[in-house]
Amino acid sequence: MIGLSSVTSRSNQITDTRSVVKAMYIYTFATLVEWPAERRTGDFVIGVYGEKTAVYDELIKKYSGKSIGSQKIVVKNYRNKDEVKGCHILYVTEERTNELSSLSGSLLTENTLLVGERNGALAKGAIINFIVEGNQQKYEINKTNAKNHRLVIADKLADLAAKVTK
Amino acid sequence: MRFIKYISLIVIGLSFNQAYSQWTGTAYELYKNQKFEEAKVAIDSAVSSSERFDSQTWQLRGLIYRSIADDDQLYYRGIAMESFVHAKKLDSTGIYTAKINEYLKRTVLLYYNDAVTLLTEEIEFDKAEQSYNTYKKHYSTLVDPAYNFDQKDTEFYNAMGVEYLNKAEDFELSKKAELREKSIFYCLKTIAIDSLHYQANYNIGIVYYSIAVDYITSVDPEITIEQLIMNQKRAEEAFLKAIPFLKTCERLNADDINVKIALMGCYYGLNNETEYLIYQTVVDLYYISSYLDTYKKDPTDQENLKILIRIYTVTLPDSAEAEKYKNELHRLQDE
Repeated sequence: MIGLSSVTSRSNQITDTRSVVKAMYIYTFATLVEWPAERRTGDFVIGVYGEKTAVYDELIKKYSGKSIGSQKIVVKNYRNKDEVKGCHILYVTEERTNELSSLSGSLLTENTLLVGERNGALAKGAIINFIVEGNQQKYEINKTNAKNHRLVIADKLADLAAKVTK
Repeated sequence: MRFIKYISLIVIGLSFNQAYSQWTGTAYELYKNQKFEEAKVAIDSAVSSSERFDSQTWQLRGLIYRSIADDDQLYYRGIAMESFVHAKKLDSTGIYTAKINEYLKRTVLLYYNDAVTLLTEEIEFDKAEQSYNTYKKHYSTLVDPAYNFDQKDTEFYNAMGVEYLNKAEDFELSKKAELREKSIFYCLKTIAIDSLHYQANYNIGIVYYSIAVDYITSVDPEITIEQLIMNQKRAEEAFLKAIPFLKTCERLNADDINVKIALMGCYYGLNNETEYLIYQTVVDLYYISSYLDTYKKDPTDQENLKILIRIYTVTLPDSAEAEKYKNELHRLQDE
């Protein structure tokens, strides 16, 4: 009998399609959000806060070294809040959702796009939150949180969101 | 893997015991000595002489032509069959009927064997199917008009499906998609005959699963958001198509872990957490001892540690175990 053609190197492990989708979404967010002028130089830092999850692996594999405009993408992992610095995007893993509120406060001046992945993350300060609608991975946006971080969300990104909170 | 067993050909001993006429006798001696080209010339002389009224002469002609193995083999095989048919006509007493029928049957089966070789060794799909159809046509015309081909059809079409799928893996996405479609087409032909054909159902499930995964993983990473949303939609459709076929397999054999893994992958891709966790738990229970063995052999295998952390956090919760492997992983990552 033939086997799954899309298994990982361990034959009983499936391809982590969810993480691939999330990583690609994060990349598209980077292309559809406008950062203040002072953040448009140097490296473009995408941080993953929490464990080095499959999303982190995907970001490294697919985007490390690529560019957003003239900025080179650098992917970093943080396990301690104090280490988080200079991120353009910070993806907060599900198990660290409770730390979103304090992260939001401390990263306000860094214009960091906080991305969560648990229901209620927008209320804790995330600007974009991954949600599942039907059978698909979608996202919701909080425009007030974006404004507080001096980030401009492109109309296209908002139009394609499952939900937008003003 | 071979899904069709070769039909073995047994060399049939000739029973031309009585004295032959001149040309036929010569041809028979040459045939016995496997000098088929020379035998062909002799037997053609026989059928141009008065010996042409003898059924055995035509039987021998069929055997000689059938034995010639060169580039014109198929042409000669046709002549062999014509010769057997003619031998049957001349057999007015019916004394040779059973024997001639056996000659015909074994000659027709050569087309089936060709089909198998063309499919599984030469990967010549069109020629294989052509040969298979020729086999069926001749078998029902010359051997058994009432023969039921269902069993052979399911074997052959399923083998076509499998080989198309195997071949698809060697190509880039657009060609791969075309070959996968062919694979589905032949597996569906199998299922049309036998709706509970395990392997055909499994193969279709796997093809749709692979198509879905490719919509997500085999795209340009610098994708636009519209493309990403569209690809997710297409992947969803393919995952949903896979499930009924895999569920049929599950009903037929609830113990097949490959089916459980495939269903787990579909539900995972569909973001159906409830169903996904049911299958993930079954799969984890099946494999956990091997993960633990791997850990014993190589405690630095980070991928294995991640799996153990996931298992003890999600499917078989044990906070102490999860913490142990997490600390181990952090230690390795910080080194």
